Amino acid sequence: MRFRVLLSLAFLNGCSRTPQSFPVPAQYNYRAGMEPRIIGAGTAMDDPNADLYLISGVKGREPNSSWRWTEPRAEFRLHPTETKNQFLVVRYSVAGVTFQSTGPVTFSIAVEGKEVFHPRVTEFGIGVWRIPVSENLLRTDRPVAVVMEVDKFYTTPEDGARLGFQVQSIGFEP
Amino acid sequence: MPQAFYILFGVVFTAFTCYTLGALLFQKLRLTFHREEERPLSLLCGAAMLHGIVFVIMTAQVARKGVFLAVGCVILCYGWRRGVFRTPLSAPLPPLSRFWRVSLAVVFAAYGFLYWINAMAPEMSPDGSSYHLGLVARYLREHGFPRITTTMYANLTQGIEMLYAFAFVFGRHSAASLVHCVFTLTLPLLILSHARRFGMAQVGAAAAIFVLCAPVVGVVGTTAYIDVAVASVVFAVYSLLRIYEQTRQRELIVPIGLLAGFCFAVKYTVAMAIPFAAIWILLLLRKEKAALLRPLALFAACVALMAAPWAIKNWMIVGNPVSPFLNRYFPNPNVLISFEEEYIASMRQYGNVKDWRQIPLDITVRGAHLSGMLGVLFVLTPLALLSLRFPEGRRLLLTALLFSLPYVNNIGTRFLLPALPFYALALALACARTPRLLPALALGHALLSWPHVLRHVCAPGAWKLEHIAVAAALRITDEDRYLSARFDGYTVARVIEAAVPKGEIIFTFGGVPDAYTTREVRVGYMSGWGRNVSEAIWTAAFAGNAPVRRLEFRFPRQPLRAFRLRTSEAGPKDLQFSVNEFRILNEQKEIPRREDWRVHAWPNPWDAPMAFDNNPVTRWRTWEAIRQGMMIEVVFPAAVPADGVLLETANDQGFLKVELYGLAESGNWLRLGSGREYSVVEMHGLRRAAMDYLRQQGVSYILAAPDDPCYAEYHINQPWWGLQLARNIGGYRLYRIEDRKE
Repeated sequence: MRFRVLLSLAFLNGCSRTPQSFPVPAQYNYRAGMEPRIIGAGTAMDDPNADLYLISGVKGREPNSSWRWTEPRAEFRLHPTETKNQFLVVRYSVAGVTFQSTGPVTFSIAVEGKEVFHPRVTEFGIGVWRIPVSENLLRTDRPVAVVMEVDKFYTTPEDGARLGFQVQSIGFEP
Repeated sequence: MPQAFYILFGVVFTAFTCYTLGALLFQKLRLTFHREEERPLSLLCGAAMLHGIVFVIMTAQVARKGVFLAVGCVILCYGWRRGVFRTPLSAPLPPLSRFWRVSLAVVFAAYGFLYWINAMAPEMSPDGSSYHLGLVARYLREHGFPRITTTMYANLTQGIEMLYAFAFVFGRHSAASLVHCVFTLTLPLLILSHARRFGMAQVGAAAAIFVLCAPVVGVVGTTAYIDVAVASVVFAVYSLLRIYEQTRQRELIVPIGLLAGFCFAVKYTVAMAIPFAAIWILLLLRKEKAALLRPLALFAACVALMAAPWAIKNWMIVGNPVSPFLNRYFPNPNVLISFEEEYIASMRQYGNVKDWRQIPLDITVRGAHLSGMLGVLFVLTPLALLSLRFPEGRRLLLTALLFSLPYVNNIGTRFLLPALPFYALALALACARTPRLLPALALGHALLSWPHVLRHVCAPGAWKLEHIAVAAALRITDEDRYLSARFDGYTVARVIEAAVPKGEIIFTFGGVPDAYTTREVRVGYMSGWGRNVSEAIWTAAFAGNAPVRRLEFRFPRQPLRAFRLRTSEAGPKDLQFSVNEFRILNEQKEIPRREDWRVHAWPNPWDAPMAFDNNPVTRWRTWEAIRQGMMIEVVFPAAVPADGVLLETANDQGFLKVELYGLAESGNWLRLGSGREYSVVEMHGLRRAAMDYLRQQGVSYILAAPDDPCYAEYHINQPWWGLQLARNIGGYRLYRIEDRKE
């Protein structure tokens, strides 16, 4: 009996009261329009605010370089100012070091989840894509998501990082 | 009356009160000690008892100068009447040789002067001036323990700080540092008397010098840190256990129990003194074939008297008796599990130590990375293994090893202090049989550790005593001027005091010396509350944290009584499940939230409302890596027709695998799908939303230090944050959060 009492006291000590539920709190009056627009229709990778445009898969800027490495899948957000007659302009590079390992690569470029371009790159080097984008994929009241994906990647022997390609700039242009 | 007088009164009054309590206890128990060991042991046992009395005073919310004065005077008068100040009639210990008497006198005089003057100089140690004395000052301002949930440091046991409070109320900061200095000077005396009792007089004399002169003992033991006091208490437990083993005075179990319990009350990391003492007593009782229950029950009761109040206080205030640790077993909103893990990991490897092989040289000689050094002498510590050939050496090394274990969790040099007396004695014992070696080691150590010599031995910038500031100690130099010239944090604290109205709360990421301001400065990393506030600011300041990802669930329109969002599989270790906003839709429009909806989550139920507050910078998060079955839910008082749920989440939720369930009117949970990500959005107005959240949490000011992650951001986008620069303090910026204009 004494043991049971001690045991139950020990369990009491081990449990703290966890609340079951809470009421919904007072609603905050969130006003989105109090700050200026943060991002624009495009950015260069050496722009001090470039990070604002990156969602995932783009590595940090290296000193004295206007390029950034990406992972096999890179995601950006861009805020178009127009929807009509817009082109997605990407200044990219497939580096020799990755090309030696991967050989020719195929890209997939999507805006708002819809593929808009599917180029195959058979040589390493710098290039520019100017891709027409349908008006109904763009809007001006919020940013749109742009995803660039490459089918093969290079793994660095030093740290195992997965490298896809390099980007210098990306943006919507008329 | 000169300030120096009050400082000295504070420490002398505290030390004598401690001594009197201990001596009264020994008298009551009819314990007999040798003359030389009775005083240090009385002081330490009395310190444990006085801590208990101050705890009661704090709990009763009557912590005022008059109360402390009255309590101390009653104790001293009673002690006087009971004759505790008379010279003990007990037998002296075996005498020391003339060489050691002279050596000890010279070293004690020199180091005693050095330490006393440094301790009496204005307090400016990092931890001493922030949380050790910051909390003491706050308790005294509020006349007792307030309910503090916004700093984990208030949840640590504060046994020594209770003694600091007793001195601080009269002599303020330096009186508290001097109390620590009293322990620092008592510890070598205790080591010496202990060794003399067991026939190792010269070993004890050398070990006393080894410990007294260790540079880390000097720099820590002369501030309002607590580590040397902790080492003294641990050694007193050991010494009393050995005396019990030798004399079998059963009444010794009382002071052993009190001091073992006091170990828990002074620092969690030495709480192992409790099982250590219990096992030792148990083994001795079994050897005697004596009854076990009564002595062990007495021991347990004495331990509980010292330790239980702290556990109960924590349990009542922050929901975890051993906060800020073991939060996985005592979940609470005040200290997060993730924080505890990060904190322990950071303590294991701080100070830019890249390889564990750097540690031995750094903690003994260099002191470049691990905050202080033990002294060149301790490079010889491996020689202590030679003491294993003696039974006393085996005991000492086993105890040293035991009290070194916490060092694995915090590699700062001072975390070796509880084990230092044992290593010192073992090392001295190992060298005792080589003629003239001990005197050479002891005097060489004393010489090399003196500040003017030490600076040529250790790394530049190592933490050590630098000066002997007599004028500052005696307050011939004005305290304010002295601190302003040497301590940036002091200036910041004083400017806060002048610029921030009473009762207003300041938020900062780094912290200030709270002991020098009466304003409440809350620091981001120190609590669950602080982490949420930090998160709100980071969400607004850094694009990567903004809630730009949307996850939408669509299903046939139907009446539902609840929604539950549940993780369907574990995620990467560094990813947590979080929801900024959880919106219920009907015909493409959000159903307005009602106050009678109830929200719940697991884990971290306390923050669930943050996913339903319409503020995009706040979020419910698990604060643990994602496991299957983590969930957040909302329950309606009656079924609500709905056809969609929209989750607003941060970018890092891209890997999240979740499923949505709805509670049908029939009482069955229906699986409503795993969602479809449909957009990333740009968020505006987050900075102002963050500041509105801070205001809602009672914060009126922000202090930005130059190394603050948001320092530049506050400055560049000041209008969008709604901040107004109140003061620029040598690089630090104090902002007032403006009221929102509707």
